[in-house]
Amino acid sequence: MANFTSEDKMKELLKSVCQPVAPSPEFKDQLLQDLTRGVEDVTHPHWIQPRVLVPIAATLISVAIGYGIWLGQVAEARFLP
Amino acid sequence: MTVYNTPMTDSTATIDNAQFIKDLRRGDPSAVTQLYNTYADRIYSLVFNQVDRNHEVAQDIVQETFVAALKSIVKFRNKSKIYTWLCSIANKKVADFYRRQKRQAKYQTKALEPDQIGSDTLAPDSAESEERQEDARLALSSLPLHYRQVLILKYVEEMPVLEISKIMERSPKSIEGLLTRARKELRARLATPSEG
Repeated sequence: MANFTSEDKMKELLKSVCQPVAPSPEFKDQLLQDLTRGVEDVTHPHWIQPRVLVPIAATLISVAIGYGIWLGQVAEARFLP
Repeated sequence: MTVYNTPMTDSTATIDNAQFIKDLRRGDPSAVTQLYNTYADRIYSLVFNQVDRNHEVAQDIVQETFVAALKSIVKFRNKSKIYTWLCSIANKKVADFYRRQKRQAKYQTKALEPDQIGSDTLAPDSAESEERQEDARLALSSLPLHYRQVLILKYVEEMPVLEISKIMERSPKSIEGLLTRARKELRARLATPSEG
């Protein structure tokens, strides 16, 4: 019984010290805006979006083709009389 | 806009249905709004009470908590309630904050001051009870962070030990032990309040 009372007092004390508090409406609105704006980037990372992925892929393909052509020319110069 | 059948005014409201989690993973803005509206105040209170009632610090940590939650929503496996999961992230962010503060304290000595606004919300009945509350607040904030966290989760949030064990990533038995030590330490500090 003593323990129960003690537990009860502990709860009462901590509840009185740690009363619920709400953030300011300005902070809440701003954070919500940031989160809803940022959620697209978070769930669909920036680099996966087509407007970023397509130029990257095009650049990589161009570099690969260029390297292939250069390699062909080097091989041709080296092995053909 | 999808409505997930959650009373917005109820401070203990939860949204744990599968469709909601699916929508969050897809990045549906209405699901994000619902998550935020349901839990922002509770998470804010939890954090605020762990950081010596400092609004500025609490705001930073709440922001970090929600950003981290949305980033890792794909990892959420529905094994716990969303609120438990958010509490777990918030607790880690508070611990990170104190770690950073400890590192910075090596170079500068700036104490974390509680906000006046935070102290006002206590609204004590009399000068005596105000003094008692202030003593209790000081005793609580002087406790090691894991003691403070476990006491707040148990007595303020009124969470069962099993849920606290998920949040603090310890076994229920370890939480029981931690609670016993935290209670003992708080009582000791209340019995001999620090001077100055």
